[in-house]
Amino acid sequence: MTAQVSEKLIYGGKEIPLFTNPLSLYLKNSGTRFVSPHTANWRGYVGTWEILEHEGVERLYLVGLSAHKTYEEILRLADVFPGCEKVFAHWFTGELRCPQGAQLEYRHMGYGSVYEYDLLMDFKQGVLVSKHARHNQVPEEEPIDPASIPPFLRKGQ
Amino acid sequence: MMDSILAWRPDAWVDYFLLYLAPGAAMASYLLIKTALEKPSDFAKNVMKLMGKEETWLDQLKEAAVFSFGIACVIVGWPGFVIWSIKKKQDEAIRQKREDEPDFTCLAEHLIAVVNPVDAEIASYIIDPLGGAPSLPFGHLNQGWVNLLAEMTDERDEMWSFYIPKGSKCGKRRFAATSDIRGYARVRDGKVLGEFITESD
Repeated sequence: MTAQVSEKLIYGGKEIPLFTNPLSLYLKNSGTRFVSPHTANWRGYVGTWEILEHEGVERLYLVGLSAHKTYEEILRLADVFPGCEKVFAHWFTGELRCPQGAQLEYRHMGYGSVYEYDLLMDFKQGVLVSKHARHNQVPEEEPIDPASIPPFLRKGQ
Repeated sequence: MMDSILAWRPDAWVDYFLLYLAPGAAMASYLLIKTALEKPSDFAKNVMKLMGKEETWLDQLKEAAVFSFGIACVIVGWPGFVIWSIKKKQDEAIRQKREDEPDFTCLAEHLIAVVNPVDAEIASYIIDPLGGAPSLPFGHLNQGWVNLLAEMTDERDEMWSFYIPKGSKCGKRRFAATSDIRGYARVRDGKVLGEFITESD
């Protein structure tokens, strides 16, 4: 699978990539499906999220959406959530992963690429409960033993 | 001709042996015809040729030898093949049945307690000071809740709450849950028939 285009997260006034899809559960529950415009966006949409603070509590909101109803027709947030300027992601319990720094290794699959740091934020019912950073290193790859490759995959055999 | 065939009775061991081999021969004939029909298309042959994997006369000889051995095995050991074939069909039917089952994240071991839908609904309203959630049961997930209620048509159906801790096996394929998962399930006779997830990653 091709590496997938990330969601966007506005945090502390800065827009950073988000390697988590918090909208998945909402889409599953509502039976909403979008059309994939290309192989780097199988889910068919890109959401812009923001963590907004109110009285010391930080919550996760969907503040923007670009979703493909068809290849040409793009839906915005107000089309999917009529009358909503922002959508509180109260269903989201889990971890948001925001890659930071330089890309250490590209992986041609989903959100598999490795970056210098991951900013990890834990949410409970849409409310931020903790956050921490993880320092990543380039994973060491074991050299491939040619004898382990099946004969039919070897060139010229 | 027909009368003489019907009047024939085995009297020597060779007759009995030939009689035993007859179903095997029929089975081998069936397999030969089936294999002949499954020969690779010209397109597949051309692809193999392009990949440098064209069959040489030695490959054909090897294939013929293996095939002859296989056919001989079928003719002689046909009862074993019949048993194997029946077992394979049964395994395939079981696998297909499992594949056709609906894929619910919640398993029976994740069920907590029977809940009253009215009580569940009262406790479900979302409070957001910034007005980002509608005043509906389960907020933006209301449609999923409505769908679950609409499915509860049989009086034997019960609504259960469920909780799947992060890391525990869930779903038909028993993948590890990547976060805590909570929700409600439609249960009948201990079997999960529907679910509504209220909290997940």
